Amino acid sequence: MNATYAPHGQIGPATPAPAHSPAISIHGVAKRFGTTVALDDVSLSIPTGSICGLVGPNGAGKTTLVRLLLGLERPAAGTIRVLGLDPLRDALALRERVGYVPDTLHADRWMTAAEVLRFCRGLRRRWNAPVAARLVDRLGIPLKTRVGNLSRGTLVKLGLVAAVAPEPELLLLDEPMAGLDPLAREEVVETVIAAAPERPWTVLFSSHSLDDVQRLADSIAVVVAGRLVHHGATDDLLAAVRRVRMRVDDALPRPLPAGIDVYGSQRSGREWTLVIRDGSGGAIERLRGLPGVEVLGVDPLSLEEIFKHMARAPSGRNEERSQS
Amino acid sequence: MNGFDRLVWREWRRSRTMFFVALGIIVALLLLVFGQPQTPPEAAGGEIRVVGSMAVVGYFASWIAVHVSVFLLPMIAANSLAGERADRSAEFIAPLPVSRAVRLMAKVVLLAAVAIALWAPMLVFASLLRSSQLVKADDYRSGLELLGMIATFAILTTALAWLLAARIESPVIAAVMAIAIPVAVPWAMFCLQAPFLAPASFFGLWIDSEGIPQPLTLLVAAAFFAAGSALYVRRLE
Repeated sequence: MNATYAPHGQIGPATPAPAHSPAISIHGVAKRFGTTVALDDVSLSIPTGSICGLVGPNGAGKTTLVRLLLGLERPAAGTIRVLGLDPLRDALALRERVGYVPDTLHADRWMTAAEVLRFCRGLRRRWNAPVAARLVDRLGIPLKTRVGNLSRGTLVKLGLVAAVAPEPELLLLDEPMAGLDPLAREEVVETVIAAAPERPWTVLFSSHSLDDVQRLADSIAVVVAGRLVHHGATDDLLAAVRRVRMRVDDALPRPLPAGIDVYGSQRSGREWTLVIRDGSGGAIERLRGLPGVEVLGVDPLSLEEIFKHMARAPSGRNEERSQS
Repeated sequence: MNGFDRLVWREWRRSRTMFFVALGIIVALLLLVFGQPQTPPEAAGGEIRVVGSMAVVGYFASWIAVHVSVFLLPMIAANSLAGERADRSAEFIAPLPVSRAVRLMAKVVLLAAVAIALWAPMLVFASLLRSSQLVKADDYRSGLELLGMIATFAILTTALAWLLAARIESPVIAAVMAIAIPVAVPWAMFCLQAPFLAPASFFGLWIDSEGIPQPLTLLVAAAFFAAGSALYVRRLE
C-alpha cells in the first residue's frame, strides 16, 4: 500500500491519474431501455482532479450515465473511457480505482455496518483502515447495527466510507444527498470537501441540490431528457446567464443577434423578460443596439433558476414562451 | 479472510436459515421415530449393540437428510442467484472489484458444501452399519443405490433451480418450479400414456433404469447448471 496522508488525516490515491488526461471521457454515448431513450448522443470530458456536479430532472438519465461509467450498463452507441479504461472491458481494473456511492446502499440487510466494511475491505486491494475508522467516528456510524435498521442518511454515510476508504482516484456519487436532512447532507458534503483539497481525485456527483453543486463543483453538467444541454465551469455559467427586461416597441426582432442563446422568455404587453446566455460576450450591448428595443434591467440568476430554465427548454437554446 | 472467503461467508449467511430449518426437521423426525423405547436387534449385543443403535439412528437421520436435499438444495440455489436480485443486494456487490465468475464460484462452493454435508453422513453411517454386520451386503448395496438415485434427482432439481433463478427474480418461484417441473413432466407423460415411456413413478423417470438412465439425467442437470451459470455471468446488475 502506498497511501499518502495529509496533515489532517485526509487520504490521497497512491497513483493518481496523469493530470493532463481527462478522468472521464465520453463521446456520442446513447443508451436505450426498450423504446425509451435514456441517453442520446452525450459527450462529456471531465478533467482529472476536478469536481463535476451532474444535475437534471428526475428520469433525465443521470443514474444511467453513472452506471455506464461503472460498466454496469452497456451503451447502445458511443465510447466511454474512465481513467483511461473501458468500463466494460476493464471493469475489474476500473472498479479497483473507483469509489461509488449509490443513492441507497443495498447491502444485505442482515449485515452489520462493521460487516459491510469488512466485506468491502476483503474485495479491495487497497483499504486505508485508519481513514475508514476516522470517518466512521466522525460520521457517527453505529458499527454493530444491522443494515436493515440503519436510517437512509446513515446508509449513505456508510456507503461513503466504503467508497472513500479504498483511496479511489475517481469518486462517483449518485444522488447521495437525496432525502437527507440538512445535517446529514452537511456531513456528506463536508466529507467530500474535506478530502478534496489534499488530493487530486476526481469527483462526479449527481444531485438535485443546486446549493450543493454550487458549493462543491468546479463544473456543472446539465442533463435533460437524455441529452447533455450544458457542461462548463459553474462560475462561467453563473456569469453568462442573465435575465434581461426589455421594452419592445414593436415585435421582438427575430432571429436575435448571433451568440445569444435564449433559455426562456416571458411577455407582458410590450415588456419582455428574456433569460439569455451570453456565449461570446457583449450580448446586452447587442440587444441594446436593436431598433425599438430598450433594455430596462439586467439581473443575475441563481444556479437553481438557471437550471429550471434549462430543464424547461430541453433544446437549451432559442426556445421562447409567451405569456400575454 | 480474503475476498473469496467473504463471498462464501456471505452465501452461507444468506442460506444458513434454510439449512438450520432443514436440520430442525431432521431432528424432529428423529425424535418422532426414536423418542420412544426401541427394541434392539436380538442379534446385536454389548458394544456392537451400542454402535449399531447409533449407526441405525445416524443412518435414518442421514436418509432423511438425503431426501431433504431434494428440496433444500434447489431452495439454496434459487436464493443464491435470484434472491440477491430480489433484495437488490446484487447491486451492492456489482460496483465492487470482483468478477461475476468469482461470485458464481462462491455460490457453487457453498452449494457443494451443503450437498456434501447432507449426503456424506449417509455413506458414513451405512459403512458403520455394514461394519457392525447389522445389514447384509445386498441391503448395503441397494441402500447406496437409493442414495445415488435420490441424490441424482436432487442434483436435477438444483440444476433446474439454478437455471431458472438466473432468469427469474423470485427465488420462491424458481425453487417451486424447479421441484415441481421434474415431478410434473413424468406425471403428465404418465397421464398421457406416452407410448415411448413407461415411468414407474412420477419422479422415477429421471432415476430409474426403466426411465431415463441416471447418467443422462446427470447430463441434463449439467446442461442446466452450465446454462444458468452462463446467464449469471453475462448478466449486468
